[in-house]
Amino acid sequence: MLIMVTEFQKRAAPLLPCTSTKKHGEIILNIRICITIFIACFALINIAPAATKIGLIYDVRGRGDLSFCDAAYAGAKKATDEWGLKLTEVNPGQSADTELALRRLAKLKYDLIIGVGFLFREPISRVAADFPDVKFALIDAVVDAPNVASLTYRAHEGTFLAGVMAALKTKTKQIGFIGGMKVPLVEAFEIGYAAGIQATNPDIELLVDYVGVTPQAFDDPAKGKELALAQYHKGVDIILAAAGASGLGVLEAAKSMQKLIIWVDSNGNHLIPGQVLTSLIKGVEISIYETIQRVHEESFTGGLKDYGLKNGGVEYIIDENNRELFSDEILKKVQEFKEKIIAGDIVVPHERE
Amino acid sequence: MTKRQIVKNMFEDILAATIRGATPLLLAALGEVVSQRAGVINIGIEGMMLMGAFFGMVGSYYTAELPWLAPWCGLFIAGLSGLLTAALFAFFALRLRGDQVVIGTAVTLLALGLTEVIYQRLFGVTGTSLRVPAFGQLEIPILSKLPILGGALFSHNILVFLTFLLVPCVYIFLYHTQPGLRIRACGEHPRAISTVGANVLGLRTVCLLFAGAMAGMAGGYLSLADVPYFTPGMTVGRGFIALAIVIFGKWHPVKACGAALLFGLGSALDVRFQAAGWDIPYQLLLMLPYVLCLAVLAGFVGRAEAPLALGKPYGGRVGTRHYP
Repeated sequence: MLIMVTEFQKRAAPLLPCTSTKKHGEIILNIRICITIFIACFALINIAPAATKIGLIYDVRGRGDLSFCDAAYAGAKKATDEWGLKLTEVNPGQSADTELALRRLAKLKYDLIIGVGFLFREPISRVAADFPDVKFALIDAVVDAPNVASLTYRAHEGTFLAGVMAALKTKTKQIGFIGGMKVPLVEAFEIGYAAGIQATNPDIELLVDYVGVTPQAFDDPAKGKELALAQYHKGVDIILAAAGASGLGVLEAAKSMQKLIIWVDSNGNHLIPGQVLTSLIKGVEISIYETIQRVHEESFTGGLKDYGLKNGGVEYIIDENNRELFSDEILKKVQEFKEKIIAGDIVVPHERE
Repeated sequence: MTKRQIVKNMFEDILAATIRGATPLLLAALGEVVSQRAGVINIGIEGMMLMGAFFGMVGSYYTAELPWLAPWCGLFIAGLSGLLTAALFAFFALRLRGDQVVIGTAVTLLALGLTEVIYQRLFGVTGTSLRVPAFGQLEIPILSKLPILGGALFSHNILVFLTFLLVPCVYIFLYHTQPGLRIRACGEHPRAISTVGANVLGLRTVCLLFAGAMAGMAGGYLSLADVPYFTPGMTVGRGFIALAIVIFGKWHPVKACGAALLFGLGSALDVRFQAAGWDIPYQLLLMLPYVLCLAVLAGFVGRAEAPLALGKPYGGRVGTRHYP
C-alpha cells in the first residue's frame, strides 16, 4: 500500500499545476500532504476489516444447474453468511480459463479457493504448488498437496440404494441410467446403481446411455431428452439421470411419458411431484460448509475428506412429494441395506473389475 | 405386443425423433441458405442460436401469466435477438467489409459470454433453472390418426410443421421470383447485378438479417419446444452442424432439408442403438450422425459448388478491386 501511495505521488506530481511562486508551492505541498493522508486513510479503511475471503469457482456448468454448483453455492452461502465472510463466485465458462481464474484469486490472497468439480484437478494441482500459502478445496477429485482439501463423496453408495428402490419399484423389469460423460466419477454412479439392482433382483435389465464424450455432455438437455424418450419407449419405467443440466431433458421426457426418474446431486423431488422416485444428494453443501468452517476456525488441513453414507456425504430424500410412492416394506428394505453399508457388511463397488 | 407391433412402434419412434432432431438444424439452415446464396457466410449462426435460445426463454418467462401466448412471445423475442445479432454482424462484415469468418467467430464467442452473464444477472440469484411455458404437442386432427406414418409425422409441436412448411416457401422464393434471382446473383456475380440497378449491400443485409432471425428462432426451438429450460451453451455446436448442412445440401433449401433429416436420422439411430444395450462403446455410436453424413456426402452427393462470390466483401472504391 505504501508503495502505491508514493507511486501515486510521483505520477500525480506533474499533473498538479506548476509551482511557479513560493506561495503556490506551499499550497501545493499542503495539497499533496492532504492527498497522501487521504489515500493512507482510505487504504487503512480498506485493510482494516480484512474479512476472510472465499472464492468459489464453478466448472463449465455454473450456477442454475439445479444440482452440483447450486449445492456448492448453498453451502458456501450458508457458511459465509453465518460468519460474515466474503464470498466471490467465478464462472470461467470455458475449461481453459479455470486455471487463470484460480491464479487470479490466489494472487488476490483469497483464504480459501474452492474448485467445484473434477475438471479442477489438474489446474488446482498446478496452482496449489505455486501458491503454498493459499488454501484450496477440490470437489470430487483428489490432489495430493498439503494445502488442498480433496472432498470426495461415495456417491456409489447412494446410487446403490437408488438401485434397490428402483428394483423394488419397477413393473417392467427394465431400469435405465443416463450419464453425462463417461468419466470415472459418473461411472461410479452407474456401477453402484447396477450393484444395487443386482443385489435386489438379478433378473432386471439395466440400460445404460451416455450423452456425450466432452464436458458439453453435461449441458445438452435436448440430447438428454431424446435418450430418455428412447429408453422409456423401449419399456424402461425408471431412469436415474446423472448428467448435470442434460438431466433436465430426462426430466421433461419423464413428465411427458408419465414415468419415474431418480434425480441426483440436489433435491429435485418437487420438480415433478409424484414422479421423482427419489433424489440422491451428495453432501456437497455440508462438506463445503465444514471446510469453510475449518478455515474460519483456523483448523484447516489438507488431504482427503471422504463423505459417505456414514457421515452424511450421501443421502436419499423422502419428502411429501414422493412419500406416497413407497410402501413401508420398501423403505424398510432400503433401510436394511443402508445399515449394512454403513456397518461395512456390503462394500459397494465403484470401479469395473 | 406382437413382434410386428414392436417393429412398427420402433419405426414410428425413430421417425418422430428424426423429425424432432432435424427441425432446429433445418430452421437455422434455411436462413443460412438464403444468406449464403447472397454471398455472405454467416459463421455466427451458433451465436445467434444461443442468443435466440436465451432470449426466447426470457421472453416466455416474462409473459408467463398468459401461458398460451408466452411461447409465441418467446419465439418472437428469440427471432428478434437473432436478428439484432445478425445486424451487428452485418455492420462489421458488410458495412466495414471485415473478414466474415473472423467476425462470425467473434459473434459466437460474444453470444456465449453474453447469454451466460445476463443469465447469471437475471436469474443467478435464485440459483435454479427456470421452467418456462413452452410449445405443446399438436396433433393434426385427422392426419395424426393415419396408420403407420400418422403418429410419427403429424404429432409434433407447431414449430416443426411451420419449419417444414418454410422449405417450399424458401425454395419458391429463391428460384421462382425476381428478388430470389437477384439474391442468387448477389452471391454469384455482385458487380453484374449492381449494373442493372440492384443494391447489393442492401440485399445482402436483408438476407443476413433473415438468416439471423431464423437462427434465433432455431435457438428458441431448443429452449421453448424441445425442453422448457435454458442452460448456458445449450446449442452445443448445432449452429455449426446447420452450417455444414447448408454445404451438404448444396446451398439448396430442399436438399438442405434432406441433409437435415439425414442428420436427424443419424442422431435418432445413435440414441436408439445406445438404448438397445448392445456391447458397443457409446463413443462410436455418438459418431454415427457424422459418419452417416460423411458417407452420403462422399458416396452420392458429389462435388458441391459454392456461390462464386461467397464470403467476399463487396463495395469500396470502384476500380480498386474486382469481384468476383
